[in-house]
Parts: sequence; C-alpha cells; structure tokens
Amino acid sequence: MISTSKLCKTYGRGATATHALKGIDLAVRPGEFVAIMGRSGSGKSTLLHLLGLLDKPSSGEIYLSGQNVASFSEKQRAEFRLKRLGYVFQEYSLVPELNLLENVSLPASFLGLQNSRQCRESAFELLSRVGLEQRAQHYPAEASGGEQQRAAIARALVNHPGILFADEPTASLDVASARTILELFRQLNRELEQTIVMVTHEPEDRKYVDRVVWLSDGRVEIDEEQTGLVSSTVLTGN
Amino acid sequence: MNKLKIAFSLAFKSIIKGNRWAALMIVVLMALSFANLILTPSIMSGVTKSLDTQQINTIFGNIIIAPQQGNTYLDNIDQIEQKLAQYPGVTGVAPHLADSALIEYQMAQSGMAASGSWSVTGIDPVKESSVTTISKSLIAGSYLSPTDTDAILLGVEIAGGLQAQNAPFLTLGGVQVGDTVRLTYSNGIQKEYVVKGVFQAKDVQADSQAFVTQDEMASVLGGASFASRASQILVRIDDDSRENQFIAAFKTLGIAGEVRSWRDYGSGVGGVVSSFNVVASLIGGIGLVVAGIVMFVVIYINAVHKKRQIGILRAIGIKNGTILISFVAQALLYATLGIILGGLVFGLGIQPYFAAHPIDLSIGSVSLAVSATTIRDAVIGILLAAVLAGIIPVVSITRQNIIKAIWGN
Repeated sequence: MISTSKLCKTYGRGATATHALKGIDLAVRPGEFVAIMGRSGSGKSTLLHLLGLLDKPSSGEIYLSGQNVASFSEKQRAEFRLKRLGYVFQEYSLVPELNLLENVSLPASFLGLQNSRQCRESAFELLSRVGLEQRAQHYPAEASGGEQQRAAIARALVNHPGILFADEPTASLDVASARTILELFRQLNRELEQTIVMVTHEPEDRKYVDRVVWLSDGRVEIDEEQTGLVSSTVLTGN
Repeated sequence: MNKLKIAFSLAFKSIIKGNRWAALMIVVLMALSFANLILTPSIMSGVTKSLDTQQINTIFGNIIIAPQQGNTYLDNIDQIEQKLAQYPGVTGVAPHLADSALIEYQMAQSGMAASGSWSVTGIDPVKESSVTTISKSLIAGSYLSPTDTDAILLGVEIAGGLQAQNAPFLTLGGVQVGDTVRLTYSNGIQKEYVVKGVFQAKDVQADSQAFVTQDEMASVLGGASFASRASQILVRIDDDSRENQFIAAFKTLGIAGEVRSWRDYGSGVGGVVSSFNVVASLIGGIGLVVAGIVMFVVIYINAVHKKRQIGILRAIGIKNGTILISFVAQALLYATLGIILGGLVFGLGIQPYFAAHPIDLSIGSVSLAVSATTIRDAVIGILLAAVLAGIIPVVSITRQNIIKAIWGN
C-alpha cells in the first residue's frame, strides 16, 4: 500500500542545510493503522507530508498503491490527493463559511463522480457514522473542537481514499475528545479496513494502533507491532 | 462546469457567511472608488459643458451663417432668415451687423479719459433674445429697444468697474448707465451714445461686446443698402447635440453663405476644453490606479487571511484554478456590489445634490455632466482592478508550498 525507499528530505542549502529525513525505508500494508512517533524535530511530520504528497522529497522513492509518486507533477499530485488520499489536520481545517455537510461533501463534489444530491447523501452518511448527523447544518464555529475533527475525518473519507493521513489530529483536543477521535480511527480501521497513518507525540496513542514507527533524527529507530489494543467499541457521539 | 460551480459557490458562501463588517467595508471602499471615478470626470465635463453653453448662449448660438469667401456681408438676409426660421427645430434666428469702433469715455468727476477699440454689433433686439441670453444678463440699466438710435449696450469688460475681470486700463474704467460714450467707427463716422445697459454674461469674450440696434448700425455703415445686410446670422436650435445634422440640412437650403458650427469660431475655448479633457483623463487615470491599489490591498489582506484555508483546500485536492476562480469571483462580486452601491450613491445622492446646488464658478454655474462613456470606463476599470486584485495574491499563495501555506510560513 505504502512503501518508501531511501527517502530523504533536506531543507535549505550548504552550511545551513537541515536534513529532516535521512533515508527512510518504510512499508505499510493495506488495512494497517500505523502511528509515526518521535520527539519534536525527529522528522515525523515531514515524513507524513511526503507520504501524503503535500511536499516533494529531496531524493528517494515513494510508492502509493503501487505507483511511484515521488516525481508526480503538481497537477498529478492534486489529482491523486483528491481521489486516493484523505487528510485530517491538527486543527481548524474546515472551511468556516460552509456548514459541516457542505464541508464533507466538498471533495466529492469536486471529484464530480456523483451528482450534488448523491454527494450530500454520502456526506450525511459519513457524518452519521462519526455521530454528527444532528450537527450537519451547523457551521464549524458552532461545533466543538472534537466535532470539527470528526467532521474533518468524515471529509477525509468521502471519496473513499485508500489511505487516511492524520497529522497530530488530537493535539488540540481535550482528553475525552481525543479518545473519541482515536476510537473512531480504530473503528474505521477495523470495520472498513481503512489504512491509516497517523503522526502523534502522545505515548498513550500507541494502544490504538497496529504498529508504531519511531523516528529519531530523521531515521527509523524503532518499528514495532503493537499488542494489547483497546477494543473498537463505538464511542462516537460521546 | 462542476468546478466552476464549486468556485462560485465558495465565493458566494465566503461573502455571505464571512466577516460581514469586512465585506461591508470592501463594498463601501469599492463604491466610493467607483463614485470617485465618475465624479471627477463629471465635474470636468460639467465645466467644459458650461463653457460650451456659455459660448452658445452669449456669443454664437449653435450655427453661424457667414458670408462666402471674399465677401464681407450676407445679402438679402430676410430671405435667408425666412428659410432658416421655417426649418423644424430652429428656435431663433438673429442677424448681426458688425463693425469695429474706438470707444471713448470721459469721466465726469475726474475728467480722466479712457478709450479702446472693440467690436460693435448691430442687432435686432427682439430676434437677438431668441438666440442669445444677453438680454437676461443685464447687471445695470435696460435692454435695447428696436427703435433705439442713440443707445448702446456695453459688456462689463468694456464698461469696466468692480465687476470686470480685465484690468481697469483695458476697460473704460467704470462707465455707468446714463453716461455718454463716443464711438469712432472704422469708416470715420463719429457718434455719441447713451449707455442704456451694462451686461455680464460671465464670459470674458461675451462681456467684451457692445451692441447698438441693427438700424443704427446700418445707418452708420451706409444707410438703406445695409438694411438687408448682415455680417453673420446666428441660429439657435432646440437640441445642441444635433448641430451637425442641422448644418448638413442648412447646406441644402441654397443659402448664399457659409454654414458653420459655433465651434469653428470658439476655438479658443476649444483649447481650454481639450485641456480640461486631458486633465480629466489624468485625474480619472490616477483615480483608477488609486481605486485599484485600494482594492488590491483589501483583497490581498483578505486572501492572506485565508492563506491556511487555501492551503487546506489544496491539500484535500481542490485544484489551484478552482481556488483562483473562487477568489476572482469573490473580488468581482465585491466589485459588482460596489458598482451598484456607488451608482446608487452617485445617482441618488451626489448628482441630484449638484443639480440642486451647482458649483458657482466665474464661467457660470457648473453641475455634473455624466456621460455613458465615463460610466462605462469606470465600470470596466473597477472590474479589471478587481480581477487583478483577486488574481495576484491568490496566484502567489497557490504557488507556495502547501505546508507553508497551511502553517503560515
């Protein structure tokens, strides 16, 4: 599903160059829920940005669903992001002028495979799945941080992406909301076999994932399967 | 099509659901910029229109019938007048019999004498009133009667005094109604006239005229043979904008004379008008640049404020073109609302105000003259400025790395 080979990313040039990633070799299987962890500056967000085609690597290869995407043009990358990838950002990622239903249906409308009624139905279904069916007509400013993140997850899933990327999705949330989001990810992973790659700095989060990739100084330091996962009881809407 | 729909939908939602005070401020700024783009050229057009009107009203009328090349006078003017007066749309026909004269005035109290050479015109006072407004411009005394033979009407720039714009040594130094002036015509005949009236038409050229009756002038120039002659015939029509049509038509009437527009004679003012038009264009251009910069700054701030949102839209796969169209559409919507509001402010506020309270300048009362071209240029200017103001900041943001856009680096 995802594999990288000797993936490097360097910011700046010459004496001031910062080597954020120093030859990452990584493989994520379909249906896996992987957490990328590490200290601040370890390169975890940089890796997520490269895997998610938000940035270009300095060298190395990235294969997503069998395609070498490292040399994609900006247009190809945008197309690939729209059709094949889903994103959940840390915070404030919804369009404030659109209600939650419109936010979720936006990528589907843009993809244009369904008519607007079908897009709205799909969006509403996903909002129901994340427990926000009652909040569909509300605007982001009228929703809590946790609700906004759940809507962002629904938006990320609306085009049925092969991979869902989440960049510290619980960093701005209170403990209860963070737990809800992680359990929602777990549920999506278990029930839909959704491949999820999540960057987090919370050690507690490892109990929700299948595998933890620990980065240190731009290199993979630890890559281990997790045991003793929490159950995937549906807790959405709490 | 779908992407365009999304772009317009995002633009519309952004305005409707965005910061209403910011949107209102942008629209008001655009409205003021639009009104300013119309106001300045309209004032300038008002000034030039006022100058034109002054020339028509006080000196030339709309059309002038002049003697053919090589002739000094038009002959059989009764026939010419009849042909012209019968033409539909002609509201007045007035013959002028002109000569130059040295006018002398001796002040009774000081005994000082003043003199100068001016053109003196013989008029039919009744016919003249149907063409020019001299009869309504008197500041002292009364207008000529058709039977007057020893009376003269002086413009304030000949009579002199406090209301004259010319320096006293260029005038008669303050002739009053009832005073006597002595005229020496070009043929050497001398006559004394009582000043019957002094007029001020608020045009230096018009106010440098002197009038006696046509019969009086004919008698001075040579008696009976001059009774049916004129130096020129002024014609007034009911629609100033149709002068060229009337001129073309008059040329087919078989008149033994040259048919000319007043503009052929008012060339001095034409230069002033051209200068005003150049100034108006310059000011209009500067106004457009200022409006463009204001709009650019406002829309730029708006776009920069939404930098993170643009980054996130790009991250979820929305193409740059769609985001760009969305912001340009937003800018165009603001501009359209600004044009409508500015148009309402101008049409319902500024223009009626100036119509009711014209600016009182030395050339006369000036109100706004709004032309369709001015409005068209202002609309195009505002819309173009909006498009540029929408494109430039968004292009710069969409060219940026997505991560930088999202994290505001």
